[in-house]
Amino acid sequence: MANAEITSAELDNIIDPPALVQGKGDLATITETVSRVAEIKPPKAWYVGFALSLGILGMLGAAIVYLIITGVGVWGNNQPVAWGWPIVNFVFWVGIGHAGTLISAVLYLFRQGWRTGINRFSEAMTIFAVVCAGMFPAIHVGRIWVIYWVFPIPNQMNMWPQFRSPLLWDVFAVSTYFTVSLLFWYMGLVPDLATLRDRSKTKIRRFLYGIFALGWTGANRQWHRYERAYLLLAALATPLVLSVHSVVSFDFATSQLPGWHTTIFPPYFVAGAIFSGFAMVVTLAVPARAMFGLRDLITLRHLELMNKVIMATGMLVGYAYAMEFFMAWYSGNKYEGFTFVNRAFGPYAWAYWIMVSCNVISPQIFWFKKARRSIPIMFVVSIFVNIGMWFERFVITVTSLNRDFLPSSWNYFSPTFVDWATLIGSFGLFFTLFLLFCRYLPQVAIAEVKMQTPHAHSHSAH
Amino acid sequence: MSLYQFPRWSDAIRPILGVTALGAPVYLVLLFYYGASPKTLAVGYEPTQPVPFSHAVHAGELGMDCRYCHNTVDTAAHAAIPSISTCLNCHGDGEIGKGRIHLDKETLAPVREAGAGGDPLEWVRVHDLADYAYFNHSAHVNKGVSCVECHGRVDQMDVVRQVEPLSMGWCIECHRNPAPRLRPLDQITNLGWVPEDGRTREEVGLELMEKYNVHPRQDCSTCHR
Amino acid sequence: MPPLERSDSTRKYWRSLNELEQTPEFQELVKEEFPAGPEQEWTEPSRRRFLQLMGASLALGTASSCRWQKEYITPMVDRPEGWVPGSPRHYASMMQMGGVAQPLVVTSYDGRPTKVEGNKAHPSSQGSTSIYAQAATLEMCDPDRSQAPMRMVDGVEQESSWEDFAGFVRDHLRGQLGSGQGLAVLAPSSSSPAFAALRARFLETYPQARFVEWEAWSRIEEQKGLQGIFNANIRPIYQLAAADIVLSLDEDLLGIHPDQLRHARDFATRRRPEDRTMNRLYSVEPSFTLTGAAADHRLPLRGSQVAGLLLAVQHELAEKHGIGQGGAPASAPNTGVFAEEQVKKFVTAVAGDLAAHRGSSLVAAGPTQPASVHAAVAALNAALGNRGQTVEYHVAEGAPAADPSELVALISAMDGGQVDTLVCLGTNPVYDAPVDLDFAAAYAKVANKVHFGLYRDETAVQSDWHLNAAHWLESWGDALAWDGTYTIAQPLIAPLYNGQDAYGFLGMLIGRGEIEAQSWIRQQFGAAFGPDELTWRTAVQRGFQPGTSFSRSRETAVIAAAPSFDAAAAKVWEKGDALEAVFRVDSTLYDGRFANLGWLQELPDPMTKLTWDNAAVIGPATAKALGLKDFDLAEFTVDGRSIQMAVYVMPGQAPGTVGMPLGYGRTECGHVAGLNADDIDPVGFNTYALRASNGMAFAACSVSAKTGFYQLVSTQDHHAIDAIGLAGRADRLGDLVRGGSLDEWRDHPDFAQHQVHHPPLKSLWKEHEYEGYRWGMAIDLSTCTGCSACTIACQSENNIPIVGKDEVFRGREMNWIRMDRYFTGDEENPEVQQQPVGCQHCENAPCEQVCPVAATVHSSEGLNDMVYNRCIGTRYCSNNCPYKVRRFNFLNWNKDLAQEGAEVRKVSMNPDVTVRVRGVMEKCSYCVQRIAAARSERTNKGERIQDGDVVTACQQVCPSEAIHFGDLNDEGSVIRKKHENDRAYAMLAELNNKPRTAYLAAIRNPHPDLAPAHAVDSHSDHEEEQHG
Repeated sequence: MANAEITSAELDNIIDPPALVQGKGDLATITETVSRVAEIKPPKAWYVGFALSLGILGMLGAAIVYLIITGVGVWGNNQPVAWGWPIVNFVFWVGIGHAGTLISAVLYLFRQGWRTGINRFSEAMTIFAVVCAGMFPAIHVGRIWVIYWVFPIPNQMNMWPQFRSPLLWDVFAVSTYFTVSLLFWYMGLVPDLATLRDRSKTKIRRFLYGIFALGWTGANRQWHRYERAYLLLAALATPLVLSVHSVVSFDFATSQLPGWHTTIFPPYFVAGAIFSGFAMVVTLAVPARAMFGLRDLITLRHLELMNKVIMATGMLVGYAYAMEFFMAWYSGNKYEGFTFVNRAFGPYAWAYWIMVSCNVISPQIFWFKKARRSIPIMFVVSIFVNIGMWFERFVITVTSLNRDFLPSSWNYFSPTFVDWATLIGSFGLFFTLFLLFCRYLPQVAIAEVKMQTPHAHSHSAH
Repeated sequence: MSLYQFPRWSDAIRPILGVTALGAPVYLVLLFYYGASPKTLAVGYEPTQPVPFSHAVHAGELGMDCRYCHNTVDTAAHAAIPSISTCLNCHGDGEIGKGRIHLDKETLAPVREAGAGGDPLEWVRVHDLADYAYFNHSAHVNKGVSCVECHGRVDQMDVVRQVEPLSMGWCIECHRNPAPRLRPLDQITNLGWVPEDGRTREEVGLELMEKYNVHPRQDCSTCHR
Repeated sequence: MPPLERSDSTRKYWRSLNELEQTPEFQELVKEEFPAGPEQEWTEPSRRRFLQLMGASLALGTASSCRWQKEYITPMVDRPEGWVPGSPRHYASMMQMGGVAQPLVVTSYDGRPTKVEGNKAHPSSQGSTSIYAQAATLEMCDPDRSQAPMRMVDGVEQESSWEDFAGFVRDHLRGQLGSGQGLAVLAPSSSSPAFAALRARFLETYPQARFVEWEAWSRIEEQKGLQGIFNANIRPIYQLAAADIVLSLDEDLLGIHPDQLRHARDFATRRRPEDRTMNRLYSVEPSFTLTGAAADHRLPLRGSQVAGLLLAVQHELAEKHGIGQGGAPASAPNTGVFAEEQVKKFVTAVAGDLAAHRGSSLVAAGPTQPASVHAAVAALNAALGNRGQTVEYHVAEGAPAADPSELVALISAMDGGQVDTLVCLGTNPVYDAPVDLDFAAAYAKVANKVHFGLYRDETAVQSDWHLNAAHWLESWGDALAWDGTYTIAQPLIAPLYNGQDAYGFLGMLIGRGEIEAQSWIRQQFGAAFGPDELTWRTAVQRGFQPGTSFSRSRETAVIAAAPSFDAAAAKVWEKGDALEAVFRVDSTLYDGRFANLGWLQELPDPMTKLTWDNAAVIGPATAKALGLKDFDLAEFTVDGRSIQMAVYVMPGQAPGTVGMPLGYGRTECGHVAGLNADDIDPVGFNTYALRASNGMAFAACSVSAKTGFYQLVSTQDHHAIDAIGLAGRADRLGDLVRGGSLDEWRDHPDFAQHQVHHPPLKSLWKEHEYEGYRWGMAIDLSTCTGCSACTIACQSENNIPIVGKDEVFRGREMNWIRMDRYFTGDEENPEVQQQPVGCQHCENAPCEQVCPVAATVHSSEGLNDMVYNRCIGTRYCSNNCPYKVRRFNFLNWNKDLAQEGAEVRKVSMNPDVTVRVRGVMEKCSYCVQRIAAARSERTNKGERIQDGDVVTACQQVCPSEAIHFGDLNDEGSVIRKKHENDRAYAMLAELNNKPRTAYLAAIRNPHPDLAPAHAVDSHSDHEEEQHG
């Protein structure tokens, strides 16, 4: 909840915003700049990146095959750390997958014009991130060949899944989120697909874009319906922004493990998710706008605004960290207390301090406008935040588990090469999908951006 | 503007698309549910046995009690398949105290050989539960659940075949509502039994549940250990 | 224990076994029985198929339909009357270790021995067993057992046959040697009368032959010491139940003592304060033993200083209390350690207690101590009037301890070329003989080297002949228990590899007609106890012949000289002094004979918690002085011979000593322990390489600086714990493992229930109602010695796999019962508390609420059912379990079962318990299969399950009766009383899990002068607060 308010508040402060569309911002140019990307041969960098991601994706495939043939023992998981990197990665990716819907839906409802430059982009990112996230719970179970038992399918055993289990809520929450995000994204794509269809030279392109454009003509009636539907979807998607990661946080919060069993988890996780999501958008937008010459559409202002959001949510997360400690101390529960002391100064202290410095300290540089508007700085910080947020999940999962109630079962967790392969591999999957998107689909919502052009404004009723 | 529009005939596809989109999951579920269930796979399994032993003749026409051969059924988890010597009690080779029925019948040759120290018989298992499901015959037989409830009218089968799915759901149904499957203990092996004085099995069953103190357990550990 | 088979069980047994042998399937049982198919990955079929198949024979066809794999049922040709397929039967039997019989009862399914229990009726077992007996079923079907006679023909080993060997005996022994000149037999200690008779026969056949007994771990010093006083072969029998004060001088009464089981049980009767007045145990020892851990006061001293302490005590008694005739010393050592305050106080306290409890105190000395100490101890007991009260000296006819000097003589004869043929009849001297004697070299000089044993071991590979022995589960036998009771072993299965038993083998050597163990033993039995069949049958069925224990010694004058003590030994150890190596048989592998049993290799040492290794155990201060720490490799040298060994720092190890457990470093044993042939490295370090005949127990030892790193693996404190961890542990320990002194208990009998204060507990869900049974367990921490027999019994009962060193290092051990060991207090001389932790079967089980597929659910009787075949392996339940007692099959631990030649392992698996595939969670089930068995037995009779019908495996094996199980709804039940006991508390009750396992607080009985000042529990009652 908090994040949305802060965000809007942040944005209300903007006085005399510079134009959202820079350069020779007439409609034709916009169409040209965006569409061109999907039509001309992409730059060398694209091929290099794509080949690289594809290779890493291959590694992921190999790792998963090995995993399924041999058993989850190929990971570093043990007693008591029964959940290791797979779950960490899952939560990490789900988090990344938040900015998309937030930017598209929430900012849309708040009528934040500046979202248009980046929403398409971040929606795509969302979908690909959720794909990566969804993979992990599946491959992390011991017997993946019977994983369908988590779905309520009638069967000869007369057995239903156990609806009291947060894991089950997860299944539904994430799949719902994925479906809605996908619809929302596609909905927005339709007019632009039509544009590409109309511009396409070859038959195949025309045919394919044509199919997916669903016969869009840009008729008034269509636009009318489109706006209505888009608004509805936005409204539908908004609660999901809060629900998904809240439910994910239940996996931890509803257990009785010190360090997991905390009521602040839902808001804390949502804030963290948006934090990491925005960071990932910046990480992707910065090179992309350079690579595909979209500087005029994804402008410094967009980036600066996002950096503000990053700083705000970053501080929210920092507040949550502090609160956890306070609660642990204030509860007077010795197990709770120990867990947090152990986090900060125990065998995993290094992980904890990486997390803190990346998530809480590094964004503070955005107090300075210079830093907010400096491409290199924001890029570096966004990378830091990504790393920090991964470590946050690592700290929560592993350090809580490795030393719980009975000292006799304390143990240390160390990852295996398969852990690494699956983590890195998931990035391979993500970037493969993302690069394909950059190559074949409009990265910026052409139609929507047009509405932000001076012309649009001059016509619009202010 | 044709460029922008799908051809007319494409309208025809829409309903079809819709139906498949909605129907596919339902279809898959049903396919899985019926196709993969023991109802389809296991019922009717009727392997040929090394010796064409006819339950219809022995249990049916001759009216032998099931427990003459399967003599551990009411004391142990396992209903013993009779040892060769049991067969030889009637189909003996003229030994003192042994019957001489069908002394030289061809189909009985394996039995006689086994009895004379040859290779033992290898009967094919018909009713085969999963290895992680523990079934106890005595627990059922002593509470008024007759053989017929799971094995069907064996006394009418020349070749034994599986008539019930023996699936978990099928077991549970009975554990939830045992009444209609109960009968007096003295009628346990009377497969053709029907309640006299026209009472329904429900009524008899409810009575017997009291009498035999039948409370089927539905805990997982009842069958899985 | 279910009743033994009624009379003529043996006849029935043999008949049925003959049935089995008739069927060709049985012959091929080992190889062909259970080919593993993919769909069987769900659950190892063999377990349950026992239940499905008739008699014992079964073969599998290939799947010919789309349902389960096609199965065949092969009924017995003639099923014995009363034989119920798939139902367990129980036969009394016995296992002999170091010449002492361990009376047992073996459970058998369809002719397969699957579980070993103690013989309840037998005085020296009373139903419990050692870990070694528990592991016997594994040993019997160990694929590494030698499976055929082998012969070395000019340097090349080739398979031979029993006929060949018979030929060798005929031609060589009988033919050439004739009188037995140059013939020698090296056998392990045996108290078997029948075997003794056979030995006599052997010696009369070969008058010139030698017959030598050898045990790596022998109580010869005790025997010598007492011989001097009683002029007979004496065995002291302790009555711990009658002893108020026990002083143990390096004697592991509750650990590796042959009479450990009875000791533990008797000792326990005096550790439950509500039952009887508590006893007080003082222990003086160099390295931690179970006895030291259980002691109220433990004094870590070097082995060579123990005699000094005895002197001091004697002197104190004589001076202050006027006790002690004859051997009472004029003076006592008062230099070095004996000048230390704590030692002085200890001596005063001990002497005071002993004097105050004349006739109800006990002093016991261990086999590591020299004869003079044993003599002095006997005299002291006599002086204290304990003889006849707490200790009795019995004349152990026909049960002498093995005397190493005989081996010395034999070896010198071998060196002198006087031995032409040496038969190692079940011994492995190449591995375990004193290193200075260099047995291997002498052995090489012997023309015909014959080895007879279970494994192709170190000795076998150097022999010309290797004959494969039958396991005791496969053969007849007889021997005397520690108290002399005549005990009989009957076979449970025909020899898997057509091995020969010791009787038959010795008979072969004699070569005067075949000796068949059964009839031979029967014959000897008849001679001793009367020939009538009934007596014999009854004895076999019962497993022993009552009233045959040793008779008391009549010797009256029990006087001994003061123990010899070298004053120099009193010196306090400082850096630079020589260390004292302490050799002791390993707590899990014994002298190494069990090295190939994975269960025992993986069973953590009760004190160090090390698995899959032994280590040089050094005290913290000593380690600091030497600059050594955990996992350091260092070179240890005892007069000129040295080995590399890993260091493990252990609180409570006496300063200046280094504990060196024997039994590791096997090079020719099997795929578990080490096998040169297959390049399988030995497990652990062979400390026999430092053990010389002049230092069998203790030896001066020097150590180098760190030479390298070696990863030792323990199941607790997997990694060294940092300061924060230690603080956190210290902070919560008192709440988890509750205990106090006898005085605290007197002031507040229920102090344990007021340890933790927490707000009232409310449950989220509607509480379960339990009308029928309400199963619960109680574990008495006051009597638990931590011997870990429960862990092994559980492993055997529940088909629990082992995972190997690497996986234990990762923290993936599978044992359902984790024996938690905690130290408190001074790290040089800490107090120890052991706590067995299995699934607590919480009523509000946290694991149940988080499983997405309901694979772990609550039963109507309060069991926390774990359904393996429903589990998909999310491991969420484990995360949410505060006790971390759930075990996950990270990999397919049972892979090896499918491997070529290893199928035989399935023979001894428990058919009533599913074997788990990889990817599923498992945990203690409260032995639900035993509950089910009891249920069907009772309900078929229309009865309710009675108290005592259900005995869990851990409860059954526990020597100190620390574990109880039963129905909490049954007012009269023992378990109910235990749960209502004042000392009963629930671990982590503040989480409102409502565990069904109650722990009874440990009560110690410290001497007021030695007791650490205890802050008596502040009894603060807040209205709204609850206790747990």
